[in-house]
Amino acid sequence: MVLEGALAVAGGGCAGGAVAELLHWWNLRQSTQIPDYAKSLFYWSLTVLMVLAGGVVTWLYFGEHAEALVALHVGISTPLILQKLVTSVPEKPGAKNVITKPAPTVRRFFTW
Amino acid sequence: MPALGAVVLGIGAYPPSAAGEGIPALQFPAKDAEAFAAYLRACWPEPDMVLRLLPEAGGTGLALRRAFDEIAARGRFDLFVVYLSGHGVASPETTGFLAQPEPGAGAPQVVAAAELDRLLRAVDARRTIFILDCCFAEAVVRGMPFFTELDDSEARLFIASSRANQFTWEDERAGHGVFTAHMLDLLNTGSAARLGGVRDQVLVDAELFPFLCEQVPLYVLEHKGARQEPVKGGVSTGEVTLPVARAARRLQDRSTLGTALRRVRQILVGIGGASVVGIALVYTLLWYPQLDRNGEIVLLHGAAWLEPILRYAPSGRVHTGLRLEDLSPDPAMRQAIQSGSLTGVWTHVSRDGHRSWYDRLRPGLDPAAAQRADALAGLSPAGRPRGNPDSPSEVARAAWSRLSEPDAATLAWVLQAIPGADRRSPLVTRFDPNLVDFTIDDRTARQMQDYAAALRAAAMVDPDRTLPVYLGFLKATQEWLGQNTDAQRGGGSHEAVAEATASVLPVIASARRDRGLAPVDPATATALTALAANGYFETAGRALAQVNGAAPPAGDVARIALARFQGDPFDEGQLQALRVLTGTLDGSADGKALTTGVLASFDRAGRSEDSFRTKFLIDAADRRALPPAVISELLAGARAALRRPDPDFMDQERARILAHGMRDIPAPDRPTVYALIARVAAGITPRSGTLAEIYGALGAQGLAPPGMLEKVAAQAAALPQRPRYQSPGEENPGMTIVVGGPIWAVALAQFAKTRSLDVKSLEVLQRFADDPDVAPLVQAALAGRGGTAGLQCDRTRCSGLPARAPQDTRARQLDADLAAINLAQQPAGAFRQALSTLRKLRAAEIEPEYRMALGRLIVGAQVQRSAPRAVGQEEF
Repeated sequence: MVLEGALAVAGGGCAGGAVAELLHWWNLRQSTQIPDYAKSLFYWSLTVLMVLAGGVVTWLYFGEHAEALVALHVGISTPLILQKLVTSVPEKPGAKNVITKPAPTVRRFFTW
Repeated sequence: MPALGAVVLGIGAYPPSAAGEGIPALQFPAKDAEAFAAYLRACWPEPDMVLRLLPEAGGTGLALRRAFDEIAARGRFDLFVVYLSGHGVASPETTGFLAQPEPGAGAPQVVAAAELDRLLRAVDARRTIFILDCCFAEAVVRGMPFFTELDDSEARLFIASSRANQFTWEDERAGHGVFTAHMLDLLNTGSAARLGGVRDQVLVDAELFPFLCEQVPLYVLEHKGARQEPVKGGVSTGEVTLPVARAARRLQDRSTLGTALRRVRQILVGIGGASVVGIALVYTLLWYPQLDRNGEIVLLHGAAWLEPILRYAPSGRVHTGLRLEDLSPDPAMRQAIQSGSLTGVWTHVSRDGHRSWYDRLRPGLDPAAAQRADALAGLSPAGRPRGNPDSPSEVARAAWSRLSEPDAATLAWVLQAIPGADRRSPLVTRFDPNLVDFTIDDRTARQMQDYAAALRAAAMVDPDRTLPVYLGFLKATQEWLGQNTDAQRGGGSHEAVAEATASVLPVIASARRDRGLAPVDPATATALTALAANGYFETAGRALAQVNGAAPPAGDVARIALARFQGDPFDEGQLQALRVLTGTLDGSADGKALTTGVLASFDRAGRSEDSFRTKFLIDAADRRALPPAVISELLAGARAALRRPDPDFMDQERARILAHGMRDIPAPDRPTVYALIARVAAGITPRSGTLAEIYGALGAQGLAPPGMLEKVAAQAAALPQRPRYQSPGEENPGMTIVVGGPIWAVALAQFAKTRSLDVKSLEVLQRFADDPDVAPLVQAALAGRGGTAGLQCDRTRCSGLPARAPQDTRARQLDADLAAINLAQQPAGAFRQALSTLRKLRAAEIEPEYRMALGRLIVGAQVQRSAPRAVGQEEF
């Protein structure tokens, strides 16, 4: 199936991004910070941004014509790559703390 | 009472079995404790001090309690100091300092605030200072009521390294925890900028703590990008001081402005790095168009607004092959391309499988140029509109585009649009000079030529369907010639239209020959001959004369032409007859007889030294139609010239004719000709076009003496391309004076017909390969003599394809032209297979500029194959 038109192609990518984010939130269900994430507009905004990023990158790759399955794959991979990039930034060493319930952070949100 | 009691503990590492998630090892707490103990030892001599420095590995809660008990058992102290450095824990369940696990236990032990409070109360001291260097330190001490009441002591103070919700940091550069490093720095040196000098004692409340409050946050912000604010508290009745150990400073004083500036620098570096990444992405992904200094549309990396930055990087993506003159005449349509504001994403591909930059540029092109580009790129399938059938130029374009993509429906559309359909039946009629048909007579010369071009293109695709349409158009053209003059339509229009129409029949003949048929079927030849005899001489006669291999009918036309020609080429009708006669010449006896007849006509008219006569003899020599008598006469004239002391203008003419006919001159007589040529060369400039012609003619026959090729190559290489200079009126072809590179390039190309040229000579030819005056000859030389490898195709692929050269349109197009020449020479079956494969390869090609190059090859090969040059027409 071929997607025609920029919106359709971006939509296919967004669909892939949504699949990735659904999986992301499912994997966060056992995280101690899940109540904070679920109630925070900030983290939901990040989720939406990841979905949209999937659409944008798919459009950048293909423009106005794309195989639907390939667009979906590119949309899935975009949030995964972006989140991996964020979590690969080294943390500053030397914090003298033990956190039994760590606070929610973007880095922890993207670690799943 | 002892002056000092102290419990010092620093824990950074936990045994592996006890390590778990969320308890990372720390580098410096043990070192912090050692350093603090060293400070205490430096300031209090041994008998005055009771110090319990707990080992890191043995820092359990039990060990801590034992240490406090030992201190408490020693009685009242003047000063009791507790220093703890390590991990802090703050959670709803528990808050405290993390000690080592007890032996046999798994998890580390939290020494809670309540426990610490109890331990501190157990020790009797006049003054107590509790220093806690761990995360969330304030959360630990605020749970200790010890610091809210004095009882019988004078001071109970605490200094915590951070607020209840802040981390406490250690840093490799400091070599300690940041808080401890600064505290020790002041206690060991007594020196700080805010103190204004060196002290022996430091006030804990008024000096030590403000120093820590100033420096620790700045250090942590600069190096960790985080916030850490020491906290103090407690109660006292007076000042509490600590002695200074007088050691060297280790840490640099920081100011707020300095730290802020460093922080801003860090942020700017981060922004700069992000900008570089962003620019790199734009550079990689985007393109924008620009007109280069040669007037070609080129695509560059990035976007126009980034040009000031990107100009320093290699910015060219592709030279499109589209030019300034291809742009739309509408300024609004072309503006986006000319200004460079048009931008696209390089990775985008259209539905047809080519990069979408072509689709983005196309709206800004002139419709005719866009149609041409579409055809070359294989993007004008049968379904697209063909154009206006009442516009000859659109008909011609549609016909030409069918060479790129065959389409029977469009061919039918083209043939229907050609005028003259009502003249086909009956075909052979007498020309009526009084017949007026405004639908024909009002056409411009350009329009008539466009129709002829359409017929040529149609003939290459389907000669048999084209022939009847052509015959009708041929008659219409004769009528147009009869009703229009050069004065009405412009100089040279008459000749141009006649030649354009006549040139269609050789294409039909070549296409038929390629299909294994006779060039012109006998019925058509007979009809054309009859038409030529009935007033359609300029068209039918001329056309038939151009078809090689149509011998008997061509002979009939020649006889008609000979009867018309009376030796006066300045008469338009006789000039036409002379041209027809030239076209029918060959090396047969009839051909030589014709030559004799024409010369007799010139002689009768008293034009024995006419330039048209010279030109005719040159053409006859090229066609090997010089009779022996004429050759003998020319040789006699050469010998006489060599005996004369002074040269004569006719010597040059004689030399030219003899050079062209060298093949037919008996070998013993050739030295005479070479001597005459040498004499002529000595008398004119070495750059003369006459010499170029003579040398080239000899080279084409393989009869050039040694050293001549080098002279030709040197002349061709020495001069740049210059515009061609023409004498007034091209009616005197012998008077055309040409100087400069191109004429010598033609001569050099002639040598390539009979020998291989060296690399330097080929390079010279390449310089002129796209000069429109000489391109066909030069390219033929390049294609035939090492200019390009042959193109070979099977069903799925081809070898020897033109170079891609995305940034060199000239190289790409020249390669395509040379490949077309090579392809045109292949056998019919291989040729058609190659065309089919090339069309498939083009359809699968992603780069539009290379699609157009393949289209140029496909079209060019068919043009080359179906329209061979008549002998002698090309050079001079």
